[in-house]
Amino acid sequence: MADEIAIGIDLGTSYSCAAIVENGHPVVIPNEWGDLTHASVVSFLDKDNVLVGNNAKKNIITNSECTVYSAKRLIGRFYFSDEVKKAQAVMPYQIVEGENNSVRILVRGKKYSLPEISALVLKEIKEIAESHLGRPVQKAVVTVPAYFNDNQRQATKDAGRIAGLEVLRIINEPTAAALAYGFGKALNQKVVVYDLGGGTFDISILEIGKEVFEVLATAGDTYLGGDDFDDRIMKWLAEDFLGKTGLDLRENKYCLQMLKDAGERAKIDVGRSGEAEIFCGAICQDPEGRVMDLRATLKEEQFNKMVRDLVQRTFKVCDEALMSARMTAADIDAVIMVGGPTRLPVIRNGVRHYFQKEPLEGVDPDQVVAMGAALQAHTLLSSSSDTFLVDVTPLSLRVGTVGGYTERIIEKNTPIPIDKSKTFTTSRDGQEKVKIRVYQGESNRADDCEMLGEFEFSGFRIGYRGEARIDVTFEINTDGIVKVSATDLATGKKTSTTISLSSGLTEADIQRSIQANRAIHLAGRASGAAMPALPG
Amino acid sequence: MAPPQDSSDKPPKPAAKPPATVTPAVKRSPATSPITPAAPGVASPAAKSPEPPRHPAPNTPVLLRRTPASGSGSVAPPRVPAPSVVRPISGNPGPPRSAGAAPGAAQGAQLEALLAALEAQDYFQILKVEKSANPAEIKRAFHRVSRAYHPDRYYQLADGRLKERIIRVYKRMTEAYYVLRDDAKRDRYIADIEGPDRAQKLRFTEVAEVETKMAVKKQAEEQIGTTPRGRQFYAAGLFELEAQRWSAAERSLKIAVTYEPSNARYKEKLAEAQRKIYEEMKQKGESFKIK
Repeated sequence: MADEIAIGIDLGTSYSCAAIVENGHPVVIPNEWGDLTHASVVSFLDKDNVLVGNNAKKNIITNSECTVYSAKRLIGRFYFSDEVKKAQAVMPYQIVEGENNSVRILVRGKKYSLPEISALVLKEIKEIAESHLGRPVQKAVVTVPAYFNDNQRQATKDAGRIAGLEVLRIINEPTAAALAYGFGKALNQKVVVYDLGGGTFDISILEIGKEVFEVLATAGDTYLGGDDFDDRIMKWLAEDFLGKTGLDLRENKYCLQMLKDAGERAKIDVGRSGEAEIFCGAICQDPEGRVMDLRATLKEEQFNKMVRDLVQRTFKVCDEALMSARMTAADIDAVIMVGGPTRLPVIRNGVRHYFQKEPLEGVDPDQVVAMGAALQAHTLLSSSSDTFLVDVTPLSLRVGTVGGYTERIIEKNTPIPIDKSKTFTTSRDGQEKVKIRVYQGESNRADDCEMLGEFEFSGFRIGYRGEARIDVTFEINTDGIVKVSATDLATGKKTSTTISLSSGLTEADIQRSIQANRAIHLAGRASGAAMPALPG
Repeated sequence: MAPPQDSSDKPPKPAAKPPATVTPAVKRSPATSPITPAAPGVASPAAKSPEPPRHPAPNTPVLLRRTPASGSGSVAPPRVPAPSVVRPISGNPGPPRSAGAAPGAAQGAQLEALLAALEAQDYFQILKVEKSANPAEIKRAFHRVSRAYHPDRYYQLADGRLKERIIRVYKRMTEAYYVLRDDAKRDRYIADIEGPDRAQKLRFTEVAEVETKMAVKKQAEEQIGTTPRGRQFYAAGLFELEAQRWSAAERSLKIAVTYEPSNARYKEKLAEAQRKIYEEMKQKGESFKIK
């Protein structure tokens, strides 16, 4: 019991990172080659062998149909969502529909759920940690974007279980970053965490006291990330090429991958040195069979212009968060930058200008989240710690009502854990059951919110419309996961459910996935299929 | 390896051959097939085309020329769930959910007693602050109780029931904090608990969004009038004002004001009509007649 260990995992869209607290300080766990971050890419080599991490990333071009990346963009989403449609257009791997409108990835004739894919990334991280620490790792705190909805959190938690990890807690990425920054410093500050990741943008405003880390407001955009910056460069390259040659590189998924790769590298180069030389040799042949190269130079000015609206969008979200916290940019004491894209001068300058403050130096935007997660894991395991977190729910929770409307039960930015109830009634005479639909979002129109799930409630006394009194209670736990229950106020009959519709995984599915995950061998890992039992 | 099929959407080896293109060939003769496998030595219709590739390069896809104007496929609108069938009724939060007291450890009993006590306490009592407390004091009070009851403190606790009780206690504390830290909510809550229904209103009930909208609408309505006759004459007055018949407008609005003497909007419009009459008279240069 005394030497229990738990790691913190930042499960990112593009890269993942793990950390552990050693002697009271969080340290990032490297793999055998000294890499501190690991590409969240899973490449299926054959039935039982997968390659995960930075080596798998190379396979995006050569083994594109069997290499899954950016799975986080799809986790916890419905098959009919816009994000899935967008992914289907650009991803080289096959995205198919599963049960209950869920999303599945079809690789080599086998369907995988998104939690199963993410579980393979987590399995790799777990084994990296095990071989570094020389002992089994069974517990972890896993981070999610603050703006993740309930389905996405639930699916992430499922992924952890499938990977054989006990997920002690799901915490928000910006909150973790703030924890890493302020832990043990006895600060008294209001800080902003500006977290621009590969696929999502989050902003959280926190008040850090001696022992307490209180999130005052959070806001975000789950459709905005570094990938969108790459897309802009890709679009420019492709259109330039189309104009010069009449060939559209975007028609072919192989060329598209080369473009994506070039776009990502160009973004990094522009950020680092102000200019990027782009060269893709033999990217395609024209109809006459001539081999074509792609060559271009991207200047910083030009790049900044391309992405200006994306940068502006992040500040709209900042406005929203500040308003929710009832503050102005001048009230902020420090700005913490998280995520690879925040290294770009265009972002740093924008942030400096918006908050009138220099972003904090000495915080590694790729590692700070994992370090915060490790600190939280450590806090949960040791009863001696005095630090506690007060986080909030990022989105309002609603119940669907007649006519396509919704009624808000819990407002966004409400501190958690919390429970709240509201009384509802029937809309028809003699109605035997009601369908309780749960939504998350800021509109009172159901169409504009994300549906989380639904359940039926029956067994109340049948009467005229408006007679039954059904109490619907929403509970948000410390993971930010929602539980909904309905009670008939006349009889006290109660039904409750943890809503999980879009991951489409039942308990039996999860058990099966756990078995399947164990059977899969991670190629290129010294430790083999299963962690060897250590003596003692 | 299976022979490649040019019409297939999914070639078996993606790296070696490109998938079919989406747009029809614009500059090509109809005799050639839409795609050309790049790998040398693989038989395909394209290889038999009049101009064979001069520089065959493996792993290099072939693209078709097309006009830049041609668009991409459209995306179908997302499916929308059907409307649901419950609707809210206003108000009452329902009976307190005091579960039957469970026998157990002394701590458990203690917490159960606390939970029961919380049911009868208002938010100020729960956080142990005065009703006059300012937001900073409320925050400090919440942090103080968090130090004692935050579930993270008890994560290691083996007793699941005990843990569950602590979370229940803590949830009530966050609820108290959520309501009291907000000026508008706090004011409404104080009015609630100082009223005759204190016992029912210990837990804050959010105003339904529908009701908020109704209230806004009602306010707008009130500005127009609360009595049917008043509204009628007000509407008539507005109509006359629009038509620039000032005296008629004045008459109608005067009657409207007799129905609703305290309606500021009516009086404002009446003053407007009277001003217009005065201006008109001045312009005409008529002297005032003594009635």
